[in-house]
Amino acid sequence: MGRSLKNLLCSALVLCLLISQVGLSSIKAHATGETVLRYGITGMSISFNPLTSYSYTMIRSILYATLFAYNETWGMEPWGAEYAKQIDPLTIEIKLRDDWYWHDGKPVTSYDYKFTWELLLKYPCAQTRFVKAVSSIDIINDKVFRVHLKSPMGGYLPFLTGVCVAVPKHIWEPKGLTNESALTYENIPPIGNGPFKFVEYKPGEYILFEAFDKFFAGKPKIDKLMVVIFSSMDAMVNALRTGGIDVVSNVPMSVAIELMKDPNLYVSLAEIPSYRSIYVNQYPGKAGHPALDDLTVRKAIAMCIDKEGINEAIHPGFTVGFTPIPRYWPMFNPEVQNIWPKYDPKAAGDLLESADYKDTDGDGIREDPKSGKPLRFRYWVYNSYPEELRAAEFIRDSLRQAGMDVEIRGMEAVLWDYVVSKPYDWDLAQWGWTVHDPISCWFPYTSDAIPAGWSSSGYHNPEFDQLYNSLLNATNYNEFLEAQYKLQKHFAENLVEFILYHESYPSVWNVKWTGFSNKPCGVFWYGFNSRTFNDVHLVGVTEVAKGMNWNLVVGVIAGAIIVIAVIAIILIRRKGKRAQPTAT
Amino acid sequence: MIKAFIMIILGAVFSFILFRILPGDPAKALTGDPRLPLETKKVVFKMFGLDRPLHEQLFIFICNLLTGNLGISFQYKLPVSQILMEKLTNTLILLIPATVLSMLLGIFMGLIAGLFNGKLIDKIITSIATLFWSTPSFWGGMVAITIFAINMRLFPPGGMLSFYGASPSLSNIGDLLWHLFLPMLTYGIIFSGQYTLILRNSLVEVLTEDFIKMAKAKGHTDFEVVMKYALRNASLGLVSMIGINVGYILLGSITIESVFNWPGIGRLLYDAVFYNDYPLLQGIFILFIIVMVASMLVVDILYSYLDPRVRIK
Repeated sequence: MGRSLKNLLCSALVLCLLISQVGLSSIKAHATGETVLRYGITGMSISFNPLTSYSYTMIRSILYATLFAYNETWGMEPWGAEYAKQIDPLTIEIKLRDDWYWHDGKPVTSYDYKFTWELLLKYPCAQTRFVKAVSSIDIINDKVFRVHLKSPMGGYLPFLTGVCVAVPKHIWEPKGLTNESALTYENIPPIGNGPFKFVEYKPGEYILFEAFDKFFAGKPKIDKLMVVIFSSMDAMVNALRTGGIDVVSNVPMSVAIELMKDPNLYVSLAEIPSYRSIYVNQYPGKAGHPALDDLTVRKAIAMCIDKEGINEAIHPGFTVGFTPIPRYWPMFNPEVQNIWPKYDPKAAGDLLESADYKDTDGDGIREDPKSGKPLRFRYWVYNSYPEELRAAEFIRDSLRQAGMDVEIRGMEAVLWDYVVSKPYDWDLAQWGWTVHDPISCWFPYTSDAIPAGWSSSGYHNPEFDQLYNSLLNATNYNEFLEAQYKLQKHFAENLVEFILYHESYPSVWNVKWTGFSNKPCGVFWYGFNSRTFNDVHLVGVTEVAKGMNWNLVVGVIAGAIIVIAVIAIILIRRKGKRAQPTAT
Repeated sequence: MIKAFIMIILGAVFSFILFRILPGDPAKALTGDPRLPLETKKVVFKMFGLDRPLHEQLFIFICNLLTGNLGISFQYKLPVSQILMEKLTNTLILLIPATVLSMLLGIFMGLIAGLFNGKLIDKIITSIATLFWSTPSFWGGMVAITIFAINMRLFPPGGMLSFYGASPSLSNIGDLLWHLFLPMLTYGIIFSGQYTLILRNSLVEVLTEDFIKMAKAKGHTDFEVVMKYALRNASLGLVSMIGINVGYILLGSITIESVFNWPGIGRLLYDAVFYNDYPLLQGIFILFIIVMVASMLVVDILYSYLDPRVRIK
């Protein structure tokens, strides 16, 4: 072998060795024994303002505790509150726990709740709907306050649970956050009172929390919780499969089924009171299809929706829905299952025929006898959920059998929000709601919801409004239950919206972790309570697993590139030398 | 330079108007609440000057732009310039090595193919290059992740560092390189296809020129003829293409950064569009314009260096 070639190869090997030593042990490990749970989410902007943030209530549940929390059977149990007792139908007395502290060490007091709720009532925003029934708050002492209600609500108080939390008055008030400025306050760093304290937020990348040792339910078993933000579902799932993160809770069912095959992952299904439905444009003065105001047409459409079939094909594990109240809640009215029209596209066609909706031009689509418009509806569907697009196609096929049709338009959330909530120029739109409690879930279907910007279908019916008021004015549980049953019956009989299903959310975690509080609604990104991560710990492992030996990888690759390049250069030079004429 | 400056200002004005006529509600980005009541929304808009007439908002925007002030992001409540610098750094960490790799690989393959024009190796390289160039970057990324990250567990499927919370520095450069490898390779391979084909075709044409025959007649080896004479002439088209691609690559970073969860400008742009974050959108748009204008200027300068027949007066 030529000397120059030997030198070249030696140099390549030395370079390779050097490169492989780069960054030796450079992974900055966390402190010895520190456990960090990495929770993956997909999404965009995160807001730490607990008053206005609509999405990512899971973040709020990590930072804050509610007065009450749901237990495994959807009953309410005291959590941050020691008790809530009814003094009279319109007065509730609440006592806060003595050992409930803010993350800065100050105690949570009645003044915090009075400050927060008065702010919500004066400057309406996302959380206002949970305290709408509050008339005023009287402070008895630091830990006890009385809430005066506008209506009794049968003892079911939405502001006790769900997402309604308080902000620290001793921090917000000195900053002048006593008016509209509170709504745009970024609240970084947030001072909460939940199981985890805020440490760091890197926009678009992660949020880091650490366990709060003074939390009343005990310090969480993990030292840190990192919420890792991914731009796409695929990237998040890949990270879970390769150990980059430890738990996710918002993957589609189709993905969860695939992940079940991975022995390193555990998939847990939990019913959540979040439903998908098809909104029907009934806004007053709307630009939507006039035939949708006719109950006969809505009934025919309902008869073309095969909920069981869609669930089986697209959403295995979901629960068929009829009204906002899920079937597994104690106040569910079983009668609605028989009221809701059965799937029968042929019968739907006959129904329309008998109501004079005939196909006059022979194109297979019936026309509205009053307006002459064909029963062809614009159907907006969120692009972010491909399974919903599939469901829409199922429905379209059945509608065509009955002589109706839909133009399915998938669109991004921004455009969907704009079209559905502003010009009302749509016919059907598919989305849904999360049911935080059995009272506020009915508000979007009242006439008052329209000017408040909370209506989905623009439904406005005085009878429904009256039933809703009777729910709010229920003085005991029996009256409350009776009002619930009537609301559900009205909803089903009038087909206010086409509720498709209540979701079952798969939560997936690495089997090296255990202790997730999976009930009542899983490790769910809408976080119903702050106990989700309290008992999570590693199974018999005290350190985070190390990554692979990237030194070796980098070195091998660097060496291979250099060797290939060297060989190529040698070959080219040899070719050149052979071609050179020799002197004679 | 004056033309470049005018182009940037015009682009900024265009972006200002464009993002304001797009549907969506900036109140969502400002408060995180998509269903803010109208009265509250009016108050919020007043706080951020969004209630002023458009021409007034535009005037304020241009004045701020001339002083380098890109405003405050509605989502992050941080200066736009600060966010852009951080994310741009992350994007450049990915794009610079990827571009260099694509150039080196493209030149290397183009050189071999051009030298062995008509032979089997030329046909193989040309086919491979065409395949690379026609592969969508997001698909290439997903295939790379599936094979090398999920199945073979050789590389991480995404992210910039193993431990979120760390920042790139000399102490964790190895970890950074480990994470960088797959996206860089994906990007580099896909873009190398274009460079291979351009260089190969240029080289084939240049190698038939008279001055090449003269160089051979003088006694230069094939290697010397190619490296000293042919490559420089053949690279003119390549240089132009690289300059054009700089802006294209920056825009294309959206797909690569989403697939590999790389925290760069591409992901930032996607988030900003979703939330109608006007200041951030405008900032990113202006950045793209500046990058495009700057890259074309650099190409012009480089071109005049490579080709003495073209000189900037």
